[in-house]
Amino acid sequence: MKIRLAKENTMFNFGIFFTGVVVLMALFAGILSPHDYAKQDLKLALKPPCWAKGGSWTYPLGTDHLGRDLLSRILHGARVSLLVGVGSVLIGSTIGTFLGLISGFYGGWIDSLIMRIADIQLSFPAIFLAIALMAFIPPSIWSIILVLGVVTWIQFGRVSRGSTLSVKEKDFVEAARSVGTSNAKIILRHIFPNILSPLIVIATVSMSWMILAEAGLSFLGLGVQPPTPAWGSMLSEGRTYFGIAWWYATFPGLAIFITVLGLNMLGDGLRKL
Amino acid sequence: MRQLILKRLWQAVLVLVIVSILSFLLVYLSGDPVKALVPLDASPADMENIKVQFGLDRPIYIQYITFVKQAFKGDLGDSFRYRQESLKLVLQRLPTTLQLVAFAVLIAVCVSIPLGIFTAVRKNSIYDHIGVVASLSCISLPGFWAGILLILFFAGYLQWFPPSGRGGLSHLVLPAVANSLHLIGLFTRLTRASMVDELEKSYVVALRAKGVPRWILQYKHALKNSLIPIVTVVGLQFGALLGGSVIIETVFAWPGIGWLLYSAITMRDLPLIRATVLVISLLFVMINFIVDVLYAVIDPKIRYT
Repeated sequence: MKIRLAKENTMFNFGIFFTGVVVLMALFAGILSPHDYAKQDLKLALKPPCWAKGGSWTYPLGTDHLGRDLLSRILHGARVSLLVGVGSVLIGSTIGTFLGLISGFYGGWIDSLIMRIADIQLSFPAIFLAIALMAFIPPSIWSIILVLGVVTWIQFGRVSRGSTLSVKEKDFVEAARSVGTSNAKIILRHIFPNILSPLIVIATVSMSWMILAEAGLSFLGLGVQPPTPAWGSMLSEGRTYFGIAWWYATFPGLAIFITVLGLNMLGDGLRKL
Repeated sequence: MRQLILKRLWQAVLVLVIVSILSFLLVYLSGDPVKALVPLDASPADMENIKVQFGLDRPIYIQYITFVKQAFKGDLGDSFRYRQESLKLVLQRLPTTLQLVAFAVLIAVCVSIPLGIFTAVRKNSIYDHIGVVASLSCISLPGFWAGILLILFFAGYLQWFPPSGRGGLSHLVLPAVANSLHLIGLFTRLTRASMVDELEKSYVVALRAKGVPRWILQYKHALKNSLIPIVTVVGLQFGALLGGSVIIETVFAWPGIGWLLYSAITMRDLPLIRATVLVISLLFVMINFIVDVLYAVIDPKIRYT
C-alpha cells in the first residue's frame, strides 16, 4: 500500500534517491575513494577536474591546495555530515520528545515551565545560538553534535506536546488508565507510538538543517577541525583559491546542496504520504 | 490590547535577564575564564592582572551584579584587539548590517510574494511544480556557497559587481542576493501554502458562486487574508538573518557586526564577542516584541493566553 502511494509521490522518490546516494557515499567512502583523502603532494596541488583543460582521470574532481584528491575528500566528508545530522537529530529529538510528552501528558506547571523555556529559546535564531556557543566550547565533531542537538529540541518538543494533548483524550488511553496502567507505561506504550509519524517528518527536515548548520560552523572554523574532511571547512579553504581554482569550493558546496535538498524533498514527500 | 503589550513586554524583560546571565556565563563555558579572557600570548603576570581587573577572584554572583551594573552604564569592557570600548565598536557596525539585512528582505519579499501567488493560483500546473522545486532548492542552498558562486560568476567572470567590501550600491547587490535566496524559498512556499489554503475556504467559493471576477477574488480577498502569516514570518526572519549574517558577511568581507563577531571569535576577543552577542540578542527581543504586537493589530482574533 505504502509502496503504491510512493509511486505517485515524485518528491518522495527524488528525496529517497538523493539521500540514498549520500548514504552510500558515506558508507562506502573507503572503497569508492580513488586515493587516500589525507595524502598530500604539493606537486599535484590545484589540478583541475578531469573534463577541464589540464585535468586527468586520476583526479576526477581535481585536487586541493595541498594536492589531495577532492573526490576522496568529498566522499569522506559525507561521513562527517551524516554523522552530525543523525547524531544531533537523535539528541534533539530525544530531549524534545521526552519534554513534549511530559509537558502534554501532565500539563500544569511542568507544562508551562517547559513551554516558557521553549519560548525564550525560540526568540533566538538557532544558528546564532549555535555560533555563540561554539565560540566558547572547544570545537570538535562531538561538541557540534551536542550543541546542534540542544539548540533544536524545541520543534520536537512542541509537536510531540501537541500530539500528546490530542492522543491522551482518546478512548484507549482512558481504557488503559481504567485497568490501572501506570503513567509511565501509558506514555511509552500507548501515547508515544501514536505521535511518531509527525516526528519522523520533523526529524528529516531538521536533519537537513543540522547538516547546513554544521557546514556553516565548519566554514567559520568553529566546527569540525582539519585534517578531518568536512564539506564546510573544505569550502572555506576553497574560498581562498576560488580565483584560480573554481572547482575547489564548488564541489564541496554542491555536495552540501544535494544532501540538504534530498532530505528536504524526503520531508516534503513524507508529509504527503 | 494594553494587556497584551504589557504581557509581551514583561516576557521581553525576562528574556533579557536570561540573556544577560547566559552571556555572562559564556566565559565559563570554556573552562578557565581567565584563559578565555586573555589573548593567547599572555604572560602569567598579565593573567593575574586580568583576574583582578575583571574581578574573577570574587564570588560569581557579585561578578554578575558588577557585570549588569556596568552594562547599564554602556560599559561592556574594552576590545583586546581594537583597544576601544567594545559596545561602541558594535554600534558603529550595526547600521552596515541592518542595511544588508533590510535590502535582502526587500529583495526576498519583492520576488517571493508574486511568485507564491502565481504558483498558488495555478496549483498543480507545470509552473507550480517548477516553482515548488525551485523554492525548495533555494531553501536547501547554503548561503555561503551561493555567495561564493555569485562572486565567482558575477564578479570574477562577468565583472559586473565588485567581489567584496563596502562601497556604493554595487557592493550591496551580491551579498544581499546571497542573503535573500534562502528567504525567497521560504517566503514563496509560505505565500503559496497560505494562498492555496485561503482559496479553498468557503467564503471564496461563495464569492465565486456569486460571480465575483476571479482576479478580484484572488487579489482583493484571498491575498489580503493570506498575508497575515507572512508578516510574522518576514519579521522573524529579519532576526534570523541578523544571526546568520556572521557567515555571509565573512564571505563578502562586509564590515558589519557579523564580520566583527567572526573576527572577534578568531582573535578570542572576549569582551567584543560578549558585546556583539548582547546587542544582537537585544535586537532579536525587540523585533520579536514588535512582530507580536503587529500581529495582534493586524489580526484581532489573536489573543495570547
